[in-house]
Amino acid sequence: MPAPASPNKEPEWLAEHRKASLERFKTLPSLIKYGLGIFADTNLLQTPQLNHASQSTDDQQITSDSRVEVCTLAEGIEKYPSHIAKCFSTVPQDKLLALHHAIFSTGTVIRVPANTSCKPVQINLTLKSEARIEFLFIIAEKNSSVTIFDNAQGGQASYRSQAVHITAQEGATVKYISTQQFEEQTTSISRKQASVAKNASVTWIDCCLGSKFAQSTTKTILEEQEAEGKTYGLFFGTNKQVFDLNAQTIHRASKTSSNMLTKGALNGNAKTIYRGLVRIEQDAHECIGHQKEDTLMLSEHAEADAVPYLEINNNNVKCGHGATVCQPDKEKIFYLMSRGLSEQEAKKNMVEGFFEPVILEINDDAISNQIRETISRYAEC
Amino acid sequence: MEFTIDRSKYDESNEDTSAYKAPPGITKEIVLQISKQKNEPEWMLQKRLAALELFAKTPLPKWGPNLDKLDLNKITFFVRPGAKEAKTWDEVPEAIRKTAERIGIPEAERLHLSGAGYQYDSDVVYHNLKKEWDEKGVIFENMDIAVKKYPELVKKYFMTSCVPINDHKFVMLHAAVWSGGTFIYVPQGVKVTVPLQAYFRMNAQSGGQFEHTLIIADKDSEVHYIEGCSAPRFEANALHAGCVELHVLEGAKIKYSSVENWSKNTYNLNTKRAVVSKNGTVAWVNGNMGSGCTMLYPCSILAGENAHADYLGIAFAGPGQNQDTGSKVIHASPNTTSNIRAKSISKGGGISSYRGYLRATNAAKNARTSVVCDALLIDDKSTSNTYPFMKIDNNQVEISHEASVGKIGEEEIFYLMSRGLSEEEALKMIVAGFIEPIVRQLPLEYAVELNKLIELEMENSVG
Repeated sequence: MPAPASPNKEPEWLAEHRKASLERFKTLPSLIKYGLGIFADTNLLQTPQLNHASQSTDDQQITSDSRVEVCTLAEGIEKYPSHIAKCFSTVPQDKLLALHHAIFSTGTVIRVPANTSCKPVQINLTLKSEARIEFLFIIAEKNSSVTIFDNAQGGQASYRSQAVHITAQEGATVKYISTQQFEEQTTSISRKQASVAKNASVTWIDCCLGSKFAQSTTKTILEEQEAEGKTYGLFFGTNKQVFDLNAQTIHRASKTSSNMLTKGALNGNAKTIYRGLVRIEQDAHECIGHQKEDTLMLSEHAEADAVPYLEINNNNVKCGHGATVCQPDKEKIFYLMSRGLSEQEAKKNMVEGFFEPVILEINDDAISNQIRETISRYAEC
Repeated sequence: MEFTIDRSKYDESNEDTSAYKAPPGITKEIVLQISKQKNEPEWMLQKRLAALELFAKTPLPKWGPNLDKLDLNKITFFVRPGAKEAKTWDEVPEAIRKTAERIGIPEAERLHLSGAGYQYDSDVVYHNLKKEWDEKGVIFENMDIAVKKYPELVKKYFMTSCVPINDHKFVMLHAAVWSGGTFIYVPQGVKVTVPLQAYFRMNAQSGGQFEHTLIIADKDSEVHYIEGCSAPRFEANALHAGCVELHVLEGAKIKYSSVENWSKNTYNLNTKRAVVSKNGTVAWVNGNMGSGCTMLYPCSILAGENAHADYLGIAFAGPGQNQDTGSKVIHASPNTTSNIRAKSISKGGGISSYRGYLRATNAAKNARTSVVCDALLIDDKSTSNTYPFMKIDNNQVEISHEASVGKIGEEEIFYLMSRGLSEEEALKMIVAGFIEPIVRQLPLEYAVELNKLIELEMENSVG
């Protein structure tokens, strides 16, 4: 791989950062081990060539309220250096994120001014290029409130890598809803991170439905008192789809609370690795942290790996986690059949109902229905 | 609130009167010496040497607790107490016998056991099986003797299909330098109704103990085996890397209970595994109180249909202790079931981690398993981690894992105090209630020991 060519006008430090990140990408092992027999093999991915990463023939539309400021990453770096520079201050330890930092070609900054409660921001992407490597920064200033819909579809044998950084300042409320429905040959890498200040709240809803291989990480860092983080996940894999999902919440301050719920189903030969983490640091007292993952197995060839972590460093907390893997309850199917449904219909109904706790959090009919349609299509396979 | 373990009866060491003590560090010469002194058959020596070669090539594990302070060059791998194996306590040298009496082994044997063994450093110094069981064909032997006396059984089952010598770094080490331990064979249909017990005691400073336990429960037989372990406290680090292999044949049942109470300078890097055939059951009861650092994950391989595994574990991590334990279960056949309950208490900066592994292969149709972990944190300096790994390759399964972490509720304490208890008594009662499900599964004398071990001493109050 040749050294990355910096786009024009890029500051020197960023060019250096790209170089260091590329070195890191090359030195990190391509087999990422999560546990005994549980690993992700990045050798199987067709990571993009650099010249591809600079193309941008994709169709991306961002619609927002006039009070919301939307600018390019280059502009954002000049205007809001303190928010953006810190993301480039360290070279990522994560192999695919290091690649992202080395070769990203585009980026957007969305800023919601203080004390503003604005209409939802829509980001609609139809992927056409072979590779798209992009950053998205969201700065929600004090006491602002915003919902972001990130709908991604399209793609062929494409590689899409996305890094989202949310800064929720004091009292801000951010809800980020992403629906990844790429075509089945696409590789989708997503790294989402939120830093949550005092009394602020960040909610993620991460729906993973498309792609051949999708890796999605959502990490919420509760930095100050009474910050709140919620993470909802939904995945449904069919055929030979592979999902590698990771949901993390780090409690760094007292009286912070978090809740993580992921619901997923697997059909065909689909495979998923779900990793979860609730970490409570030593000086974070009176915290509440919960995490749950349920996987529904619809095919005997599907594979589900789950690794939910709890790391608790002080006693003044309430924490718990759970994970289940099972098939649709036979008694419930029998009950539905006794009411006149065929077995197939009964199963489908149950699968659809299984996802509702997460879908209801989306709060947008058009998108919810779109997800419901995909679920009911996958359930029939 | 103060929460401590009374270790006085374990911490005291005897004078080192060992008859043979190898120089510290691990070398081929030491392995040859061990084999020669034991007058072992050639195949066992070859096994040891092969394991030593693997050991030298294998790096230390990078996951889990930090092992940087474990200096294998300072550990003495072979220490012989200079006492022949005795069949009666009177024949055991006085100093060694006194330690056994202090821990209460002869008394327990008289009252509650079918047979008992006592290992001191590298050698078994006492071993006896009550006549009744001997007559039924039950074999209860020191592992060293079994190698010579029952070569066919040992050759077939010793570090072959259950724990192969290349399993991991410390199994390789164990295979190279193992000494002593227990061999049990229960013939078809025989149900040993009263438990068998072995006690392992390390006395030498910077010592290492590598006992091997091999239990074969033939078709439809039953046995309950209990192991206790302790070591006195020295300044230098000690190492325990034992290995337990349980072969549960068709319809058989093995219950294996152990209370490990090594001194706080001991690294307890232990391996325990069971292979369970059709309709067989393995039940583990595991208590880890001692050690500075424990890495122990008893594993059940449910190889035959309807095989079942039970695991009950309790870990206590006090100041400076890192208890990294958990259960592994591999469901490899249809209708296999497992039930895992793990509890931990962390105090005074101690770290306790549940690190479990659950696998359901594609063949394990209708496998069912439930894992529940509960952690109690006594103060805000201590840590509790939960790392469950689940790998599921088929859809006809029911798998659930849940864990909770918390402190003793002030409301619970207040309630008990309103019923007339002092705060200290209330705390004691809550902790006793927390560990009760495990204690209930232990044989009487161990339940008493555990309760004694986890002795609550309250100074100052909470809140």
